[in-house]
Amino acid sequence: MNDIEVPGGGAFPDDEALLADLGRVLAAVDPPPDGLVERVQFALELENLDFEIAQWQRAEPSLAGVRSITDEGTITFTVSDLTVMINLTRIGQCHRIDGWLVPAAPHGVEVRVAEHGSSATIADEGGRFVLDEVPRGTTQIVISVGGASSRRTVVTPAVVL
Amino acid sequence: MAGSGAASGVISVAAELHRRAADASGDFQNVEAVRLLTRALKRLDAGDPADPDWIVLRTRILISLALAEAEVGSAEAGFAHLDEAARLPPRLPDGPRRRELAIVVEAQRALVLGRIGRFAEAVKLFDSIVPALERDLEDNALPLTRNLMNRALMHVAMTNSEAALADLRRCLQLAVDHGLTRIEGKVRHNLGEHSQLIGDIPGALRHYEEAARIYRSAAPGWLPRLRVEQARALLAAGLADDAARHLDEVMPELRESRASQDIAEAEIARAAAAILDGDCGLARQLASAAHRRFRRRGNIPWAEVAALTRLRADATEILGGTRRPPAKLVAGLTRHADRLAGLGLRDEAAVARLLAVRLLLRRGEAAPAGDLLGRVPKPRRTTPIDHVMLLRLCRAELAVATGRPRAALAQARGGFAELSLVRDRMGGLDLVCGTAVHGQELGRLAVGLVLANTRGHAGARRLFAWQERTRAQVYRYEPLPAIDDPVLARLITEMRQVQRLAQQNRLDGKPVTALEQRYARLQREAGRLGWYTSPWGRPRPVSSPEEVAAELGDRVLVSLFGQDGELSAVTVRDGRFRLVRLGGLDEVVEITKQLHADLNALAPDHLPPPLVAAVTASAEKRASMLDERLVRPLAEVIGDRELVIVPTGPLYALPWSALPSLRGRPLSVAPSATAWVTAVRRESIDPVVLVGGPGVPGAIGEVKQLRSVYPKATLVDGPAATSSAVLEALDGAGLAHLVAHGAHEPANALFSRLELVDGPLFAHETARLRRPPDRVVLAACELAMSHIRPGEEALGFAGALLASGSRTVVGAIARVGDRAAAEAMADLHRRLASGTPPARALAHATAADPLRRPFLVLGAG
Repeated sequence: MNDIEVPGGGAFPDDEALLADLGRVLAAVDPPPDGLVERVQFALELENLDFEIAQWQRAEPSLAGVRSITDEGTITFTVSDLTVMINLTRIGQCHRIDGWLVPAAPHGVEVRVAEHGSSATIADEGGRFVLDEVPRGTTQIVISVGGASSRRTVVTPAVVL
Repeated sequence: MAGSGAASGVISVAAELHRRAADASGDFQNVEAVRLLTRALKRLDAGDPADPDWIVLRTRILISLALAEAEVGSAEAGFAHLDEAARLPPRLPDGPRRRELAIVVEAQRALVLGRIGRFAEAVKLFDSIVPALERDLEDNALPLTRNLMNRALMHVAMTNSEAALADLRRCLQLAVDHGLTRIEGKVRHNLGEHSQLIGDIPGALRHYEEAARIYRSAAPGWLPRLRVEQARALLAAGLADDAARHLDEVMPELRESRASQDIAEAEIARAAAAILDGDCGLARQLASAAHRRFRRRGNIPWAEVAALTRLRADATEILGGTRRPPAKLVAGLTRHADRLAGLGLRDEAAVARLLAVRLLLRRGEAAPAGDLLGRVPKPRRTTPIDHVMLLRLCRAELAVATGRPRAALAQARGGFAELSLVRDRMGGLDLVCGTAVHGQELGRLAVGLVLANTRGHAGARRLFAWQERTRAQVYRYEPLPAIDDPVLARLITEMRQVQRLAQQNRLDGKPVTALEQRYARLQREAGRLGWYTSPWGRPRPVSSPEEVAAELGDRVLVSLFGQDGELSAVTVRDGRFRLVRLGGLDEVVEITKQLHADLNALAPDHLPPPLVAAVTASAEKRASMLDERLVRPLAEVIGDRELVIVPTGPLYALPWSALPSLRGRPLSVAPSATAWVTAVRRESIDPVVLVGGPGVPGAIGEVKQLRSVYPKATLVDGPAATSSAVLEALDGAGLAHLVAHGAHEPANALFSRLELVDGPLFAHETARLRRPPDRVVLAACELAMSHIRPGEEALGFAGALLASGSRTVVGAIARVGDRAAAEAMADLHRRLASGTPPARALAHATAADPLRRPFLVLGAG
């Protein structure tokens, strides 16, 4: 590992060794999170860089008020005036994603999975959409508000599903 | 005593060569073994023939050489070596060593005879050796046990089932008495194979499990091999998923140990699981890999079996599609069948021919198909059930192709009778369910044939009878008392603790991956132990259409089924049977999935109002679409009667009460009409039990309120609501109401669970109650959901209770909100307590808010 480059190579040889040691210690004590590089690369692959990012609304499972302890995989994202809720059902090596857009409109919905490309659909007038056989992995949902031709794009954070 | 230094040098060199040869033949390298042994003999020529060590070593080398030669195909040479070996021991001074060596020579002769198929002679020889060893039992326990085991294997080969079993039992006794632990494991392993051979799958699984327990501590190297056998037994029982999981687990270990025979056998079994699961691509890949491995080993019979597996994958894929089968594949199978027959692989040759028959029929070539079918011999007692069913299927398809539908149905009837006999012997709900996979295609053929000719009442009645014969047979048994298994009990307790710990960690935001993995492992182990040796229950006959009609009274029964992508229903009303076609199946299934997701999303009590509005709109729309497709075509028949609905496949997830025209309608769901009739006829009993699990905000209020409805009820809640206390309270209860968190386990229905203070209570455990509660209300999420296996064998938490003897189970088919559940339950019990039957009481309770109260009555309404 040589995480720390010394500009101009002007350091004393001892310093370089010291810095290299320091780099190793840091890598051991405070490593970058697993998959960070992949997630950054995955996020940078988006063609249209002009987008809004929706926030993940985490619900406290004990407060959800449901008679189930397993997290059924319902996730909600919001951005200013748009809410996206998805429900995951695991089928073999894939997921089925059932989703709802509020306020309801036939927006374009694309789901990107790292290293598996993407699949797209259009929500019905009720804002309801289904994406079947989505591979599992680092996933991001891209909503084209008002259809694919529109200029407004909302993306969810990349989450591992 | 060894002679000179040179002589002892000769002995040690020869002994070393002998040791290397033993390693080689242990690894099936018999050519190499022969070479090494021949060299060892040459070396010995320089030694002292009067030295007892020389005599003993030469005898042992000749013995090894005899077997190795026989293995590579020259049995005559082998016998010549044995004859020479037999002349050596008499040159030793009289004593135990001389007697023992003489016996070893004869034991080897018996083994060689067995290897070349002269089993009767081998047995005769063993018969003379065994008494000689018995004379000095204390010293000879080990060789005696080994020889008995070898004799048992000869008996197995001659299908002398009784004699084989007697020897194996005797071996087991000897091994246990003399502390021969590894041998004990081996004997149990062989007992398992013997059970499997005679079709006793639960027995086989039990023996394998006992062998595994021994191997784990005494001979871990033998474990992977055993797992492969276990997987084969699971395949025979139709549990492709479980078999695949087992094999995926052992394959890496096998690869590491480089045991290529075992790897290749595991690959074949895994390919068979893939074929059952419909993944023909994977099957082909595995079969090809196995084929290469066997070829490299020079194991021709197994290589041919691997090639057959590949062809089976090809044929299965073609038969599952619409493409006309290529003539080349038919020719390939026919040729291959001859090769298999030439190697004495009778059952395998039959399978190759039967597949060719099916392909020929698909090509419209009935005459050659008939000829080929004529060459398939009648099944033997040891023919596996899947082969038997394949033969029945071929005969039925040939009958259809030659315009003899009655004969086809007769074949189907015969096949199902045979399958029933196999199922009756299965232990545990899992195995009973799994068996159906082997009858799936035959059932489809029969129902399709009857459906095509269904006209009017009589036709619909006949169709109904066929449905009952082919669906949800697991509900047809009167469960027999369970045998307590302390190992299983310990595992389940551990699962409970791990699940509870994982739950605490989840709430604290701590990692749970390791716990989840441990849980999955425990679940697999406990699952294995759930395959009981004793039969699950006494079979009850399938209810006749008349019986069902009589029991229904004023109710209307709707039995749904999908055939060739079309959804239809047979209805029974006032003794009249009718067939109603409902249109495309796929569309209804997709809308059902969407509605189910809507209800899950809608469940949380604290969902923000805009989301509630959006999801509700979606759910209402989908409920109306289903109403239009499913209920409207039936409107005239069902009128305003109470309904009994028998769903099909994914429609088990349908929340019937949410459909607008069924709102407030009393209805119950049953996996088959027979299951419903059985439930209705069960007698009812009195005591009431109320259970409150932890972490449900509404539980305290709900249970307290129910206390006022049922003042005499037994209450189990708070810290007292442990799994054992709850199980005890449930046993023999008339009505049990359980408020707790619930979780359906989609891949393994018997591990669906209800959360209690000490961890989960599993469906598995309720299924073994002495007297399951008469009526059960599961005021929890999802516990009315089912996992549907082939043959419409639907099972889940509620289903397991029903199959084990409960009359009525009320449960949710989706997630439910805490408040919504509490309100629905209060309504339900007020009516139940005043004597309203469950279906009617629940209809009222759900009508108030059908989308947020997705409860159903399962069994008797």
